[in-house]
Amino acid sequence: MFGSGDDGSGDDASGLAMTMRLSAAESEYLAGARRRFGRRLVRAILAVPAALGVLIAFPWLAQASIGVGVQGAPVRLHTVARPGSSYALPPVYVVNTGTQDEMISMRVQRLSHGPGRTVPPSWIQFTGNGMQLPARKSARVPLELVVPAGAAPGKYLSDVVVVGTAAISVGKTNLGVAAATKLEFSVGRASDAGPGLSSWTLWVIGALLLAAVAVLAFRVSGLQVRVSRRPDSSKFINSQGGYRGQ
Amino acid sequence: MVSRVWAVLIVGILAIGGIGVVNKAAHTTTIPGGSTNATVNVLPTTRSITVSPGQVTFSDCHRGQRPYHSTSTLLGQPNGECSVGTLGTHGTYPITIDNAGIPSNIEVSASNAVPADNGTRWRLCSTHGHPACTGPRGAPGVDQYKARTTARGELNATPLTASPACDFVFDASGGCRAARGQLRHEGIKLIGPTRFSDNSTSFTITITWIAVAP
Repeated sequence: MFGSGDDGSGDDASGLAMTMRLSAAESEYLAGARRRFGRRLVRAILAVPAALGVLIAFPWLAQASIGVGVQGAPVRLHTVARPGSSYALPPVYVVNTGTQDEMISMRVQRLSHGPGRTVPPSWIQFTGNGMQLPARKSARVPLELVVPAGAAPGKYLSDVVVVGTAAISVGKTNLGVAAATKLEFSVGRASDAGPGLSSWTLWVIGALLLAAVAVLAFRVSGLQVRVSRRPDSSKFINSQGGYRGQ
Repeated sequence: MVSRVWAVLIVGILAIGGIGVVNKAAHTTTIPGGSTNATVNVLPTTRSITVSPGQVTFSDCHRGQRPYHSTSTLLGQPNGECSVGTLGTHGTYPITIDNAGIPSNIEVSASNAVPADNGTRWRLCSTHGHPACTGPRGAPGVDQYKARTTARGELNATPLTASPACDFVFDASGGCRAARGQLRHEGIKLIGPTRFSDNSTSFTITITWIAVAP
């Protein structure tokens, strides 16, 4: 038992020593934990401004996007165009769907399939082409159709292409976007007086022509209409308010 | 006669009272701030497209021959290859194309490659189109390059041409019809010339996605 007590004291001593060793390890562990926590804290504090700095220096990292939109409805001229004339087309709706300001340019290009002559790009004049459009903003761009004197008659089909020129560089690749809507109109013959006139003008001209033909036909037929006036009895009222006897 | 007068009076009083009630009710409904604004959101009527790049460099370069064998980020010759994204079954396709508007056909085109000194450009060529690639086995020849867009699982990549052509990534059936709001992730593969004439160390190409009427 004593021996065991010696053993026990030995155990005790050993246990004490062990306890002391544990304390040292624990304190070392705690100190290490403190150091690790401090390092993590510094990293966390530095990470936020560093990330912001990187995003400012390289904005594409913030998922920058470029985008452009155009009205889905075709651009149409509702009258038949006459060679040698110019017409105001309905303004085209364009929108910047990207996350950065863009220079919007427009051009005419045949992309759509279908019957119809291709519109020569020089026939369409854009007002405000090359405008700066902020992100998520839209605008309406007026167009003018200038049909040259020698234009061939018939239906014309092309596309109004809206290009976002704020291309994003991917290495040595620029990424661009564009959207297109149809452009449709018809050109009449140069000798046709009618196609350039509005419908009510045509109706008036038609009515006048009809009247002229009717008058001419009446004269040619030799018919005569005599218009005679009978004296009005009321003119013979005397000054006394009575009637003169007839 | 007297009863008729009473009847007229009663009707008159009732009418005046009724007008008063209606007037009060009308006053009650015109309480300041009692109006309500309601906003209804509608489907977009615009045709639009948005491109978001998720990666900024051509990488994964390989091929070429000594002393011009490609490095990981530099295109070698002859016919070195580089890509944006790591292409393949488990690859990454970093460029997002979003058909944000009405259903449209998505087409894509590319420009010639312009050297930094604005010297001799690399012409975009095509294996089956015009201008044809003049290198061996349909590879780009001298001062030519070809490129294609591709996406995961896509069997037929879209060879890029100078004029807009269907981006097959959007329609597995062989077209390029994109539904409203449909987006795709794409990568780009580029094959360089057999030989460069220009000594510039960088060339720039422009790839444009365009949404057109179906």
